[in-house]
Amino acid sequence: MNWLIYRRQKGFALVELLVYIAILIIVTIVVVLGIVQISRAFARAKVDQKISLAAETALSRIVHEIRSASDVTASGAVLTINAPTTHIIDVNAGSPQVMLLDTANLTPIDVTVPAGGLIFTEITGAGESRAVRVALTLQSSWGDYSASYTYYATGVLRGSY
Amino acid sequence: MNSKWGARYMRGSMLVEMMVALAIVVIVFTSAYGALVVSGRAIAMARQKGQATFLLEEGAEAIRFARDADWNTISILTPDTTYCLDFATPQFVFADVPPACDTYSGGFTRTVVYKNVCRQDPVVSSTDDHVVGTASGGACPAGSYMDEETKLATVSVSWGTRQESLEFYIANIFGEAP
Repeated sequence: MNWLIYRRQKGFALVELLVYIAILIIVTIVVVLGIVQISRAFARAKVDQKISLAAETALSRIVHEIRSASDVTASGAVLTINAPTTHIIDVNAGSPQVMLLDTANLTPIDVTVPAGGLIFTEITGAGESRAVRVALTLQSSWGDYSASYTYYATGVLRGSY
Repeated sequence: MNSKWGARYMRGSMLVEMMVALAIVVIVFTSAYGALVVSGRAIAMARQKGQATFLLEEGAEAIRFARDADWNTISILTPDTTYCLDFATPQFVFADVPPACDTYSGGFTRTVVYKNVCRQDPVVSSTDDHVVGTASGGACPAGSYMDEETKLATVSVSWGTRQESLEFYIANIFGEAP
């Protein structure tokens, strides 16, 4: 055994060093690419989650407000509920959040409404039937990854019957 | 490991150790990446299902709206036929048929199918008229009759290769003549 080890040690310095350097480079590349991919997948998951939660919260509240109403005025990004009590739902001018009565945020601060991202449309049917349709686009980002998704909801004005 | 044998053994094992370390690093990273990709896909699917659910609920609300406005908008439609539920100011319309349906942001399309509803003939008492099923080929099974005031509505939202459906009865509760 002894002679074998001695013979191996003679060639160690250069050849094995080159092998180690090559392995180190491969490991570094794999690790760096892995970290990039993992952070990208994480950002995507985070953004999807934030937008889903924000949209579900905001639209549930908006549809609830519409269903409780007996009279509304829908005009672009502004929904004015005239009766039974006055409520205004719109997009905050400063930071683009969906606001109720200009005081309560319906969407969190890290989820924004792009220009034209909130559209209220009034639907009128025969007789007393009235409804309001909401199209809400929400945008969010995590690091340099950003995405936006659109949600639709409609509420019938039950209070108008 | 401080014996002569140990020192010699370690010299020869550096490459093997390196390979083992490399293998561990690769396995850890690929499995972590794989797990994140799978969870990312699941989260994206959950988000799409959330969007589809809103479209389904909107479809149900639109059908109730049409019923409230005028039962005839529903009763004149051909049963077992797929209609688009499109939004056109100032009303929802059921006029078009696929593939003319609107596509909603995110690649979602929505369709509606109505079925005629069969109720059991009153045998024991006049209240014994529960729904026994839907009419097939425009006819109800023996012992039942077609209820013109009730329809079974199915709203479907599809995107990519996926589809979600919502099925419910809609009745002419405001009593307009069919």
